[in-house]
Amino acid sequence: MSDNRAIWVHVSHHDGRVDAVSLELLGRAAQLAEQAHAPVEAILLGYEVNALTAAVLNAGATTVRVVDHPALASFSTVVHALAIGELAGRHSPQVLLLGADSESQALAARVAARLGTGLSAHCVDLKLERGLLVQTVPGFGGQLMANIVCPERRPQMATVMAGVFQAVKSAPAATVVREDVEIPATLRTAREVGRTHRPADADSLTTADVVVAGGFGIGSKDAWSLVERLAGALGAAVGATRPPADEGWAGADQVIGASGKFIAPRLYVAAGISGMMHHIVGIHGAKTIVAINSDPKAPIFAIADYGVVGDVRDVLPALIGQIESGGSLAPPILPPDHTKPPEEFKTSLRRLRPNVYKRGHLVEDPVDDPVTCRTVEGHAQIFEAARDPRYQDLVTTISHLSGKRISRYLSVIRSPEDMVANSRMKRLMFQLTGTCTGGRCAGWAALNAMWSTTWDTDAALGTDYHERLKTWLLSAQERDITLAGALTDPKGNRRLGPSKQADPDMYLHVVGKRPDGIVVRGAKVMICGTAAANEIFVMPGVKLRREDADYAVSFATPKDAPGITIVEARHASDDRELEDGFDNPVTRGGITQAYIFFEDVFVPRDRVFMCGEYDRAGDAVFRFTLPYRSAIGACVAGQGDVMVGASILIARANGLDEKVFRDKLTQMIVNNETTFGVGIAASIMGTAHPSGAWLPDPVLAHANKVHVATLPYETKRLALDIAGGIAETGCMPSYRDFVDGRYGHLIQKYLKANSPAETRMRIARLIEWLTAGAGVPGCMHGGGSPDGARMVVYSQSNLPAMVDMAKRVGGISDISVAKPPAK
Amino acid sequence: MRPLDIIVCMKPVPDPRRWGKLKLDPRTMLLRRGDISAVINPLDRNAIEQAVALGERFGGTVTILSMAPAEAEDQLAEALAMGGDRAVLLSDASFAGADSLATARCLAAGIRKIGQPDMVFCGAYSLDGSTSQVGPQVAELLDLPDLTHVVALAVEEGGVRATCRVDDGQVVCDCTLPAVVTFDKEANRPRLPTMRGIMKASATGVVRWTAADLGLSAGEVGLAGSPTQMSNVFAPALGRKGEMLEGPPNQVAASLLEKLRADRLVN
Repeated sequence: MSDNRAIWVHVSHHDGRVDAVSLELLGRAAQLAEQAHAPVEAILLGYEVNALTAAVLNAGATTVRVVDHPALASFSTVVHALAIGELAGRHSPQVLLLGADSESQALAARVAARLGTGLSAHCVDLKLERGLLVQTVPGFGGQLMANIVCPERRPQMATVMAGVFQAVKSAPAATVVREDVEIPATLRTAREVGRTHRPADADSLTTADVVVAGGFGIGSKDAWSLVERLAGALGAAVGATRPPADEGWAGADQVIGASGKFIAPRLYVAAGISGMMHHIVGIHGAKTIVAINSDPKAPIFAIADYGVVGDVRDVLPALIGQIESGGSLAPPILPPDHTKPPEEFKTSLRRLRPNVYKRGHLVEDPVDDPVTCRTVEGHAQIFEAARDPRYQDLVTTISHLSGKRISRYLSVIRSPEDMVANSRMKRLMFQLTGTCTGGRCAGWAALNAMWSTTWDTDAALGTDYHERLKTWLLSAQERDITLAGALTDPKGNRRLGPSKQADPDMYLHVVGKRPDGIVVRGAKVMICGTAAANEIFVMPGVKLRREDADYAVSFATPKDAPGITIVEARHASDDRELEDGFDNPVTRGGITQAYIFFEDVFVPRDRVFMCGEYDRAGDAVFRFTLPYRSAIGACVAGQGDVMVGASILIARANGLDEKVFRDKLTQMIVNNETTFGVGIAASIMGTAHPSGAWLPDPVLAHANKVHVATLPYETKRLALDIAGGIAETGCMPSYRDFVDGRYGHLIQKYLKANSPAETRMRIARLIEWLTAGAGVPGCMHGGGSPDGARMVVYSQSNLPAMVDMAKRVGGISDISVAKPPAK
Repeated sequence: MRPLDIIVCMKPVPDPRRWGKLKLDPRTMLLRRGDISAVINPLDRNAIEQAVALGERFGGTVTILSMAPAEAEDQLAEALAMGGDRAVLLSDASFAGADSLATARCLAAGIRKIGQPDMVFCGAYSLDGSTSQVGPQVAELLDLPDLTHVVALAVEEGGVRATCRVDDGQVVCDCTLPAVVTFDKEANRPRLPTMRGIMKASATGVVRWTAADLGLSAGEVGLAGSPTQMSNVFAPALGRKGEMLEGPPNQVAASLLEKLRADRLVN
């Protein structure tokens, strides 16, 4: 089936000049007409249009149909649609093409409605196949193109942006046919009363040699200046995708893509652009495409010549700095052998099978999901610190197994120095994130507990657990995994041991042994940082007896192993995490605590580090507590440091000198240094284990745990005391109210003190978060209860020696103060 | 000034913050929009804001009109909570698959049934379709003048004066009423629903009309009434060098610049 009726192009014009898009459409129409043996006709409407007519005579048309009428002197969709409709009725063209600029687009829409025919907007290609105009448009929201056809109705209409097709020069000249159209004087239409043009250089985008464009990934109007600065450094024009224009970061005339401009620079740099088809179609002409995006899966990388996976807020400043300094570079920081860039950490989480739930919702992408993104960002800061010259020595160390530089969180603690570094690193991470990055620390303490325990087990029983742990640990160090530690069982009835429970699953246990491994069932609860972890290190949480042998089990498993389901606990004000603005004071730190359910999970043999050796469980648990309870004093000190700073800021924001609160601030500092210092003492006063592990002093470590369960609460009380009611109970309106168009100004007015309301509210929300909200780490029960620690302090202290001291000093020897007989 | 009756056409669109989660149905090759939540098309919020603000100033009624599946009642309720007086949902299984003309036909029929207003407001384009066609097509079908991509609208005795964005600048137009007006983002800053508005919205409820209520035949609406059809979708070949650079920012910046210099793309 073919159709040799005419292909029409509507010729739009401004200020006495034909628009480029119309000439380009005539060029394309001429190519299409050649195969179809159809005439190309230019449709020119206006008043006194002789000069315009001349401009299209050799542009590909065989005929120019001209309607010259005073009512067409200025552009009106109503009048022009009437005239085009009239002509189309008269001549029945098979195709009608128009520009896709906003005026022509509105005209095209009216004409299509008037003629009851189909119209495709912003086509990026047009073909004519057996009379059918195949109109290619980018598919919405994806990486696909769609072909649209209009099988029944005629004319088949399409609009196209400037720059998609090329104009041609044709000979001979087209025949000019004058058409008369009756335009009723009563026709009601909008009447143009004024027109302003942007300066011509605003359109440098389509002619620029180099274009730098930003997308939604740039993140904010402030960050947008990075795009402009990079463009400045490269002498480039600045472009955008649609969302930054919608956000007001860029102008509507800077949009590149199907509904914007088509460009063909030598170099195109796409920053924070994901690469939706709507945009991609506009940059095909670029010779070289560079893409910078934090999501390694972003489709823009599929069309890039050079791809950089990274945060634009890091990469753009680096590029700008190096271009501006003429390429003389500061020596790059050498990455540690086996620590991942933060983006690779995030990618590793995205690769896991999603099995984390919260409030009925499956977390498909832990990096983006509001439920987990804060804790992931907090952990990402560990990876950043490993590459930062200020922190690298603290956050990384040399593996005694491989000699390579690795993350400290996967090292074996072998000396007092290692333990002191442990404390200092944890204080640093709390200072950087404001809270706990528990997805690495409990797993670290657990693997260290099992390091010495497996050595003992093997020495006593001739097993090979220590070798298995060593092999697994080497690989864990190489892969730089984030390792959550899981000890706490649900525990059922607290009076009964594991094997005495009505439900045998109340403690995690072995339900099946196979030559290649074991099958386990049960749960581990309140496990910190699981959302940011790759693997889980499981070990017993209590001392065990002979009848509990099935409960003596330790292993490392991928978080997404079949049979593992993870449900995140809810915590204080977690609904906030779904909101915007400064009500969420911390974006790069947060705590998650999970319930991990093991439904007959298989663990391969080489990942099992204890299986049935019940008499070793008590040692393992105890050795877990030693590094953990020593260093937790540094954790709360790091958060206390942030509280001291925030308290000073709120005092200043309220218009007070912080010296007013000198005593309170001093007490906060004393509290911080007490828990930190006792932990350091426990670290130094430890003992070496034959496996090479360093075991901190138990009495000091557990005494520290008792402090940690009391002093930080005192520090929080003091911070709230200084901060006042707006922090103590968060007693101020929300961010949403703050920006409300009707009464936000009232909040901004009345919450202002010495500082603007926003500053004061931000500080108050931070204090609320640190003291009563989502940033509070579990320092009371995390890593065990203070009462358990008190029991250790009491049992491990050398009480007989102290009694003897007192007797000797005071000269007391009476039999009545001898140790009473056991009950 | 006398009171103004305004009808605002509203379209629910997939929440743009969740577009990254959109997936293709492998069978139909269409996007599974149901997978992510819908929101009021952002520019339609500007249209609603303008209508409610004019209602506050001059009195009259603001009617929110949408052709959409039944779930759109949520977005209509939100529009009521922003200050709309009533909401009409045009919903019928036969409306599915409508292109811009079939949509405009349905909306025009709804507007006729409600009764000729002083103005019909729309967003200049929808985030998901971005054709900018429905507004002018409604205008054509109702035989009304159109003002598109409006960034400022002043109501005066006898008509309106609109500042419209065009590709190379701005055009100021005068127009008598009734008229169809489509809005760009710069027109205003849409308000958030108030608690009182939300209570009022749930009391007001949404009126639902089907094809039969509008007197439209099956051949005029939905896929059957759409002159355009999708013939196929395809993934275009996008071959490029595809060299990935990795490392910390300073290092990756240095190696990128080195490559671009080698290609003589930067100095």
